[in-house]
Amino acid sequence: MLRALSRCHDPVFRLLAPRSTVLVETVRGRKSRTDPKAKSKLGRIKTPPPVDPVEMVVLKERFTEYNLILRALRLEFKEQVLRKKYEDEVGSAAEERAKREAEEHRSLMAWNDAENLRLRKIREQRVQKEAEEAEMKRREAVLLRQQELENYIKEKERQIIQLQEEAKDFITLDNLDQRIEEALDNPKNYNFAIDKEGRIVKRTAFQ
Amino acid sequence: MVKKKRLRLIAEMARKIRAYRELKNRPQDSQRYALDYDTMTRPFTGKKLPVLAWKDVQRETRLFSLLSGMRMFGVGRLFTRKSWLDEHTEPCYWKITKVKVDYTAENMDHGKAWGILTFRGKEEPAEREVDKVMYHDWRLVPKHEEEVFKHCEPVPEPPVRYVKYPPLLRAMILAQQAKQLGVDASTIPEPSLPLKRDVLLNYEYFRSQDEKKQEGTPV
Repeated sequence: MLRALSRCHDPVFRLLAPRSTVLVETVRGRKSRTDPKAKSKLGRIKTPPPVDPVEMVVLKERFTEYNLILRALRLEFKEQVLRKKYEDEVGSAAEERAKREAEEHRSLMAWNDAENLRLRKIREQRVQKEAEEAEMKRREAVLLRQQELENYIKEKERQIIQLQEEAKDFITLDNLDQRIEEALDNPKNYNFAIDKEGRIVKRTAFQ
Repeated sequence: MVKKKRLRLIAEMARKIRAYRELKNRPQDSQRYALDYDTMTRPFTGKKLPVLAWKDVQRETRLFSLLSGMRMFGVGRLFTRKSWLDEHTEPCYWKITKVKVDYTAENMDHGKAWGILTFRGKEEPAEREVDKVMYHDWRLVPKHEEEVFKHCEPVPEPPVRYVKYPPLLRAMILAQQAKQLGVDASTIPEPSLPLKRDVLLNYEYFRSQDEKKQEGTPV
């Protein structure tokens, strides 16, 4: 009797559901948790808002019902999701899918190998051609060089012969006197005149 | 690369010393839970107790206030809490097995206790530290009333309740089942939601479900 009375008239607030369904999370405004309380709040006594017991009982009942239903629904949905996951991994369709994927993979790999082979053949031919061309070029270059060497040698020999030819006319100590006499005997006149039309006149007013 | 961290050995040592001092100078239970009954503040932190607790604090007692006046500090006795008495019809009580009193308390009024909890008629197998010892909520069960108090008829658990689905979900489920079976939706029995299901959703469960589906109905 006493117990029942105490339950009706002295509800224990902290155990029952909150009156307002909106859950306002406490937010720390300016102060952090270590800041002391303001001096104006020294004698402050915080009284919670009064609660109507009848309303509270009704609300509590409704809330428990609501929570039970929601929990059951959540479990149902969770089961569906996990079942789907299970089907995906270990289901009946999973093995066929795996087989099909393996088949696809094998065919694709085969196609890939064929492509590689074909391209390799083409590449080899191309490489061969290029090698041959390079070989040809090298040979030609060698020939050219040889040719140039020979030309050069010939040129040099010609120059030597020409020099030899000229050496015959050089002035040496033996010919010195003779040549001096000759030079004095035949004075050469290098002066000439030219007019605007380009006519050259060799005969000038000189000895 | 990051610059080489400077080894602050003295700071490290200071930190260790501070931690050690904090450990050594921990506030005793009697200090932490001392209460000024006139202003309803705890002198240690300076905080005030919430208003709704004032009535209980003035009327009821702490566990150790009761224990300090008993032989052997109430080892082997049963203690209930007023909040349990209000909430639950089944008996809930602590049977004290071990008591460690705070020697700094004046009236040996604070400390720690261990015991075996029986909550709503179901006894726990192991000994545990008593929770909320400092709450002004405790009541001693007199020796001559212990048997009467402990006596409880185990109320059988009510059968699982089935509830109707919410309307939209119900329509969706009926449509899906109709499509699967190829039958009109009105012929399908109403789907019901069990409010409690003790099932662990793992691969074993699904595999067993699959096997059951394959088996079908036994001949």
